[in-house]
Amino acid sequence: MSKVLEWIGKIVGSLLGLLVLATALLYLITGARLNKTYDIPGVQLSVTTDAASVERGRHLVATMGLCRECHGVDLAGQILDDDPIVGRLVAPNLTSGRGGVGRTFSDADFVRAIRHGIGQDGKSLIAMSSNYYYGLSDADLAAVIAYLRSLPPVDKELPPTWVGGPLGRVYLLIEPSLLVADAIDHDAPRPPAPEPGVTVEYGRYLALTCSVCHGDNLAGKPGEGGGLNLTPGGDLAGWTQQDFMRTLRIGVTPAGKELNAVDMPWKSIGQMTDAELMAIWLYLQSLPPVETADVPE
Amino acid sequence: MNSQSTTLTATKHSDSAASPAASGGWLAMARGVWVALTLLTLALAVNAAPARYTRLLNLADQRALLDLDLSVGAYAGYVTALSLVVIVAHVLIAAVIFWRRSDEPIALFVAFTLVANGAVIPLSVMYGQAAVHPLSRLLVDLVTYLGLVSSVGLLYCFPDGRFVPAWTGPLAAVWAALNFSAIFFPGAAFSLPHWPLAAQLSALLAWSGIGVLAQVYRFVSVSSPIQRQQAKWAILGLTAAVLGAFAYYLPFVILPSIQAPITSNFFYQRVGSALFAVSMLSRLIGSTALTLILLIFPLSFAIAILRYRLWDIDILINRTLVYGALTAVLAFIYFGSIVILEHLFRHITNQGSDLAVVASTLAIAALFNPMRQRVQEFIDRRFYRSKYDTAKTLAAFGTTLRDEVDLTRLTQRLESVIGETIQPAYVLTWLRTGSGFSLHLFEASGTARGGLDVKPARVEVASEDPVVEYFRSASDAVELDRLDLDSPALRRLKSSSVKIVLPLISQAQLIGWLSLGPRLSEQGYSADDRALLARLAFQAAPAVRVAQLARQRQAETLERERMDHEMSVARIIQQTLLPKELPSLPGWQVAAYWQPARAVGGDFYDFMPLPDGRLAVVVADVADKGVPAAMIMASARVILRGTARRMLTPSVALALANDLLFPEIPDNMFITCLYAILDPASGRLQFANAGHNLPCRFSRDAVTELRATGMPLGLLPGMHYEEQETTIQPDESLLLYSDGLVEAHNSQGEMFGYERLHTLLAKSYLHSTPDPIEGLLAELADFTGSDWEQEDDVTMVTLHRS
Repeated sequence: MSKVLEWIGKIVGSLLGLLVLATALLYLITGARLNKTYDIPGVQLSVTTDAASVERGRHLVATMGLCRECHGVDLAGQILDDDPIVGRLVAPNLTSGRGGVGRTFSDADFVRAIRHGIGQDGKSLIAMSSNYYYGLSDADLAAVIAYLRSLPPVDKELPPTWVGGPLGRVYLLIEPSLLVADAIDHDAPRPPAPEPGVTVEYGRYLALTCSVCHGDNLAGKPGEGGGLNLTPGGDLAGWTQQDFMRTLRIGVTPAGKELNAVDMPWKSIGQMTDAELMAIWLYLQSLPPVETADVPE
Repeated sequence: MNSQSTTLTATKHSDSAASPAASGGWLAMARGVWVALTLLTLALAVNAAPARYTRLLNLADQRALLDLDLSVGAYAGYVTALSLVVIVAHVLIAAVIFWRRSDEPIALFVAFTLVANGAVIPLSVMYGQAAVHPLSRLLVDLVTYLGLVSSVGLLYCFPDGRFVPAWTGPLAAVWAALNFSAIFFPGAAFSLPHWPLAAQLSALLAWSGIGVLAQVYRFVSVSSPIQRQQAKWAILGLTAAVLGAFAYYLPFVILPSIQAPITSNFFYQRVGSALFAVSMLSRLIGSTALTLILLIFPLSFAIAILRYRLWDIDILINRTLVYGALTAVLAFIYFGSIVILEHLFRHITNQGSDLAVVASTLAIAALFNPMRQRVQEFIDRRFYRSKYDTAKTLAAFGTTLRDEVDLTRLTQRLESVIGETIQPAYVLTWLRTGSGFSLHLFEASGTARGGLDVKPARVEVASEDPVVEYFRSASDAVELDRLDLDSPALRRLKSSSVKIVLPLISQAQLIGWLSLGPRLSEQGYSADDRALLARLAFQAAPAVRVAQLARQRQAETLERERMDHEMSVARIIQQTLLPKELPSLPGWQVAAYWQPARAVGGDFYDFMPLPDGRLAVVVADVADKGVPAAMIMASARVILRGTARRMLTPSVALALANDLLFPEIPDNMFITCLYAILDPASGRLQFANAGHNLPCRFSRDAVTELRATGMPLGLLPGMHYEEQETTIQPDESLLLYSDGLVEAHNSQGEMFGYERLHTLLAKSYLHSTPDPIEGLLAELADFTGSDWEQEDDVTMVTLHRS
């Protein structure tokens, strides 16, 4: 018996030793990745603060950008999660008020942050959706920056994002897209910006953030808050284009079910123009059908 | 209950020297303040609980909870309950202290601090995010303030109510002022919450750390031994209590994520649900852990003051570790198996099932005890190595006890193993003696051990002493300090600073006890120690009993051997009193036989040749057996010899011997004696009889008894004896004998008898030499059987005239 216990003791001790080693390695590796700096040559965009550009920017921010989902209604940022085991995830204040990045960011800084997920210090941003925004055209990105610059300044000082908790560090390893700059091929040619219009291509361009919830192939995502299967024959089977547009405008499905605004930001998406929604519908119809049941658990 | 009240009385006595009981109006007022504070706290808790529950219900991130297969209601209920549990536990303990000890200022202060400090974190959590009426807010702030200030104050002045060192008094005042501004004027620039984090942390560490150091200072230099023990508790309980200040001022350190909003689904999905699920789980675990930490304060004081069993701190920590680990492991298994089984069932049946919960619950019920034992053993081995080793050593020793039957070695080993493991200042063994119980000391040492200042030989406890009956009925180790009996022995044991008595009980008999002095470490005996000792005593008692019996048997054997030896010496001496050789008379054959029933006897015979050629023959029987008879026989022999030398006639000789013997021998003792004088030449025989068996004259033709009357010797003075005379003719014989022959019984209860004797005497003439002794003995052996135990001395003398 004591022999067995002795061995158990040795094994547990070894495991503890390994755990300490693994933790040290974890912090070393993730620390290196957090501190990795990216040198992206700045793309010089001509940001013009004319009313049309600002309006275009506002429209993008309010609709397909879904920026307010994280940065708050006034885009002055907020603490999204704060937990010593995980860390503190903060969506920064985007205005030019006290504590806002608009106060210190150059246009190039905005481009690096939004398109490449890289902060002013050259390090990757955490959990920024830049990998989804990478396809945004130069003109539209410039419009977004112009709009952000036009925001009324809000004084709101927030603590920095801090992924120091052990679980946060582990999560960095298993979900590399949190270090967004690392998940983007910064040298990949960006797809040509499609001309606005009721086309499949423009629909795909506008639907760039849908896959966050609906999955990479838009065939739905498992788990709580996971989106529906948007492919033909999926959860929208039997819907018409009118049904689709109506659902997003009033938040009620053809079957009479109310959409949960927390789960599905229909109030933002629903601000799109008819043409934009039609384009998205066309795009969804063009997708290869995927059975909902096929969605991997 | 009796011992409990004894303890309290003792405590009161010891405390009252340091902190006099509050009296009169002040006491009533202090009690009133406590009652008001308690009611206020409970009201605030009850007031906030529903809102807290609803807020949790609304604010909880359902996605994370559902991903964990937890319902939002259960989450909200659990988290609300945690806050209430903390408050209720503090109030309960405080109420018991208030009930039992509220006449002592320090106890009242502890009760006050318990209520106020216990409410700090729960109230700040429950009211923290809520929009509340300014009055409620003010009252919460008041309770919070009292809790934060009183806990530090108590840490500085526990347990005697004085600030030690003295400068901690002003320090406590500064703390009070600091907290006053922080809580009632949180907006003020100078108030604590506005300090830089490092400064806040330093301040909190400084005030609580100084308190802990103050208690350590008391522990090493100031306190009496009792207060020392209290200080141990204080350090544990109050350190836990001042943690409240950290949790209050630095919530982000202690309370994970108390104000994270529900994030948008976009962000939730962007980051991934696993992170939020784990984060939620860590929050739940964190809240539970914090609750457990907050419960240390009331629990430690509950035990420290009410039970006054300060040394139980070991067991508290032990049990805390055991049950903490156990709870964690079981909770982990429980929730883990629920989640796994739920997924499994969902996978198989495509729908959720309560079976998972049922199966997991059953599994936990089955696992509880084996797990607890495992964890206990692990904790004992890991954290209580010495105690664990002690238990092992004592258990191993217990099993070897029965091999030891030498009482001295056994008690020596018992004492030394207890001495080495439990380490009392001394351990002494008391064993039952004839009249009571006395110290069993080694022959080798012979002096008191462990500086016990008494003469060991004198230390004895009477069987009637009440403490003996108490020990006999005790089922456990007896703590003398908790015992209050009107017993001289108890007082003496206590004055010898005996702390623990282990009764040794075998077959419901108190065969002795072990008394243990205080421990060398100055720690008390924990419940674990007492249980170990009791188990050892339980195992040792039968072994001690066996050793005692063995020793007794040994002593008896020795005594018997000694007696046997003495008796054999006595027998040799007695044999020298009998004639060494038979007289040789021409024309006569003389034979004699003498066999006492025991080693020595009361029968004797004697031949005394007289100067004129005659022979005096005596056969006598002292009316008893054994040593007393032998001693009388010796003196009777001397007296009869003396009379014979004077050539008196048998009747005169017996009368003289009677008068000489009468004053010498005890009442109701007497001697029968036949005294004869034979003239060998003529065969003339003069004889007198002092109550002895009639001699037999026998020949080929007839057997006749020679009669002469007279009282036995030594009964009454001034006796006269009939004197007779006869002549032994050639070819006639004479037998003188004692009653041992004729009164022998066989196994059927028949007596050998005169008739049989006479028949045998007649038959003896069939042989060529008429010596009947051999034949009589053979017949006697036949008659009585081989396993006859000789009832009386047998003596025979024959004279045959050829």
